Amino acid sequence: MRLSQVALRNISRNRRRSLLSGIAIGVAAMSILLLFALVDGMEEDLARNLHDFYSGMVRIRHSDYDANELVSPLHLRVEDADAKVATLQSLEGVAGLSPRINFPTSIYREGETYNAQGIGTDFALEVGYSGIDEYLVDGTLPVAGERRMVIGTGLAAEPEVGVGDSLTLLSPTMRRSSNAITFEIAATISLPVASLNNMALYIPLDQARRLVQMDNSVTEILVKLDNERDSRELASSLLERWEGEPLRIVSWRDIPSAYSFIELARGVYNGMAIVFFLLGSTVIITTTMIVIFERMREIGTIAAMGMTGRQIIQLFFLEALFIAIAAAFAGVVVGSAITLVLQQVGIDLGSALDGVELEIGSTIYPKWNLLTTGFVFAYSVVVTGLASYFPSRKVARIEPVEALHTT
Amino acid sequence: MGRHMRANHLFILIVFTSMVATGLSAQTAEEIVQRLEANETHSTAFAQGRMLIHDRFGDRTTSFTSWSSGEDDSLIEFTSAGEAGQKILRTNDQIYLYYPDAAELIRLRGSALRDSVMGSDMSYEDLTSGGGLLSDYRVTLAGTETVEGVETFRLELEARSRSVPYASQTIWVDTSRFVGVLTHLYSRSGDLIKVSRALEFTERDGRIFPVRVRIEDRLRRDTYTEFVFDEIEVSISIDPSLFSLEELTF
Repeated sequence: MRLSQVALRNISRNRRRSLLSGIAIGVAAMSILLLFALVDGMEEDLARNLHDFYSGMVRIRHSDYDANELVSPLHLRVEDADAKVATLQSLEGVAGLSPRINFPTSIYREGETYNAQGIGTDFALEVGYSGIDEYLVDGTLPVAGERRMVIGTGLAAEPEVGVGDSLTLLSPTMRRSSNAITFEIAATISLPVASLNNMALYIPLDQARRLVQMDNSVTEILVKLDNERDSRELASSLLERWEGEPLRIVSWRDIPSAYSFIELARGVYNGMAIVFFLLGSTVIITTTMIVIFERMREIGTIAAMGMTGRQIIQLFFLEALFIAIAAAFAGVVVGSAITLVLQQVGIDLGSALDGVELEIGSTIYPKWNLLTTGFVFAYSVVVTGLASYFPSRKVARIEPVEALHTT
Repeated sequence: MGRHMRANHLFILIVFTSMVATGLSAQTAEEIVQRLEANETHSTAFAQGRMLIHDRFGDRTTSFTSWSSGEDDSLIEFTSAGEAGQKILRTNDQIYLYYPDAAELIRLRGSALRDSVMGSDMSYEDLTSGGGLLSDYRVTLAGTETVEGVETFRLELEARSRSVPYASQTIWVDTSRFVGVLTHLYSRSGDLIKVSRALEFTERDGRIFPVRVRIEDRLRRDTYTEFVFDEIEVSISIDPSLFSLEELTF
């Protein structure tokens, strides 16, 4: 009889023990798969939010803006913005762009004030850029020339306003003075990032220019590309094109954000995966050790019948390995099933992210990935297999006579 | 800005003044304050001036016209291109902002009062009126000192309640003219928040007016604001309705 057949028979002879070992490995595999799927989903969500609402794939700002961003230096602007937008639109590989004026503002309504973050944008371009229309809850987007605004549902909740209500925005101007304009709410939107939904309002770019008294300028232009990997190359070429102008043009990968933490987290989670499997493997090690002591007479018998120490090691190793393969497979199958469901319905973090200054959406959609699934399966088998090898070696040191005398 | 500073150097510069106090011999802190406040009181005043605002990004100028009546009512209308038509009204101890493109008046309350006026070193809170220095602060005379070549009384003021924006003040008052030369304003933690210096005075009809005052908000980095008054008229006829909310939005 082949060793593998003997191993399989031994596994089935003690189903409870095998099941216990298998569950430990399976749960570890399933957990790691879910964890990786969650990280993948967060990474994708974060990248999308950064591209759509924060940094684009390439961001163009005045060279001194970032250093003074906390005081909203509206005079540190990207000048001649319309021409730059036209130039960018003509470039190959540019998938969308959004010229914006970001300004701090106080909403004034019936004697109360509420702090907000204003964004002046070209709605015609914004729809193609961030798909802002997809987040509409009520109303319609304004067009250029209209004194109408779009407001996040979280921000609208406090003053209890909705479509058709008017709000007065009080803001600093480019001259570092102040100005106020009254806008009618054209639409409410539910933005995916809680902090944004609670603070952001959008007005047409021309009205933002009037409010902050800015000329043909913007505070930033965000650019999306067909291929994100070209972002650094485009940033460099734009810097050359507009050499001499006080501009800072950078790829989103060179802008500090939570994305770098996600990448760091991925490394940490890889380490955690090893710990998970080692924990799972301790069950394998323990049960293998117990089995060795339980089956001492059997070991002595098969050794007396001529089976070599190496073959006995292989036998015990195979038993552990088969359990690991079956359990890991079951684990990734269950994990995949759960992930695929969550990928559709999402995990609603709800109010847990209120007040959190992260660009992560309130609902995370774990992402199932075949490569990750295969990796987790192989990882599970290899780690648990290696873990079971060492107790198996103990068998080789058992003398047949001594084993046969064991009661 | 503290109430005294307001009365001396800020929005109240529209009502500011100072009489030459020759022949007076104020001896106690209270008497000095009474002389100081008496110098600042006019029934009505009109002024045209400029705010020269310096910050780390550069300098800019905002011009304005102002009217005041007594200690409670005053109106500033900004006339420089960027702010043309914007107004600040103080009446009944409330601050209202008028913007030509806003459909409603903005009445400032709470923390909004601490916002800067047009990006200057003066806050809206500095514009609010009080019951007078002696009712808001306990005053002690800490002696005489020479400040920038001027012999002054040094007055130490401690707030009587927490309702005033500044917990304490030190005021250096010209011993001969009874005008504030220098004012330091402190927070409750004892930190120096604002400094006001009268840089230039002018004399008209026997009265001395500060026409250039520098204010520094020490909570901001590298900033100061100079108030320069180009034209001043006092005790003129002003229609009281000028300080009404209806007139503000007319």
